[in-house]
Amino acid sequence: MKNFDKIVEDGLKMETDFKLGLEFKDKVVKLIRKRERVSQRKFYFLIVFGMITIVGSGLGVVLYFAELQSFESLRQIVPLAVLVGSLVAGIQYLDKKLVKDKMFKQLA
Amino acid sequence: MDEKQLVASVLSGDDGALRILIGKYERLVAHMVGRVVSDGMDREELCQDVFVKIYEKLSTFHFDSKLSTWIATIAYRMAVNFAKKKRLNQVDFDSVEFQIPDSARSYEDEDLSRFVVKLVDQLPTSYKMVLTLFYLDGFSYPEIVEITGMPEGTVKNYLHRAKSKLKVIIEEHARKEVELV
Repeated sequence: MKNFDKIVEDGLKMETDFKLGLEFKDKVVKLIRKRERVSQRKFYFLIVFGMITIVGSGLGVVLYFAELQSFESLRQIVPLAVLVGSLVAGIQYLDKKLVKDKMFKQLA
Repeated sequence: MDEKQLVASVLSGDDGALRILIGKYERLVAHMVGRVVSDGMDREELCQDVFVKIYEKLSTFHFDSKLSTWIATIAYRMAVNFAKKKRLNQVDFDSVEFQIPDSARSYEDEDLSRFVVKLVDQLPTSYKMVLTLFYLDGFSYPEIVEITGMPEGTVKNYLHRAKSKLKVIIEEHARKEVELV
């Protein structure tokens, strides 16, 4: 008489056919380091982009005010307000997309 | 090197430690992925992705649980998501129609055990995972609850139902073989 409980348990404890090759560890390490390099490059790019944007905006503001004779007309300030508002909104959006979302995902 | 030292070394950028970590847990990850995905290329790629995710999230692991449980949780979620995305084994347990392979036409115990493996492959993903975690990787009920997020009653129910069903099929199969002889 066969012990079917034992046969089923032996089958459930049997190793799967799927085995990872000897070079698997090296492949994963290479992949991780490659992704790190790419994300580091992206990070540096964003830093440089941010610096250029800040310096560029500063220069723009200086040039704008240099040409402005006086603050008599409020309408002249409207384009500057739009520019500053857009920049702030852009920075907020990038902060949310690149920093906060990532942080929340990691915390989840 | 204990696990805390290993994790610290991996986080400090030590490639050797990372290789040790992968070597230590590749069997566990391969079990989880291998049970769900049948295509060889997809399997290896998914295993790679699991280890990349483990590495990325390692700094958030604070030894609140065993490292193996935490790694199994990541592997489980990624394997289940992959199965959902590719619509693999999305069947209800009661509606599984088991395909009986010809190679099992033997009543040697070892062949019947191999036959069990083939039957397990046809079960719904959640059942396969629970069976693998319990029998192949030796996780306890509370650990399986932590890994899968299922209530303990469900885990026990899955194990019991799957085992009973497999036993019935094996018994029927062996009886038919005896009748044929």
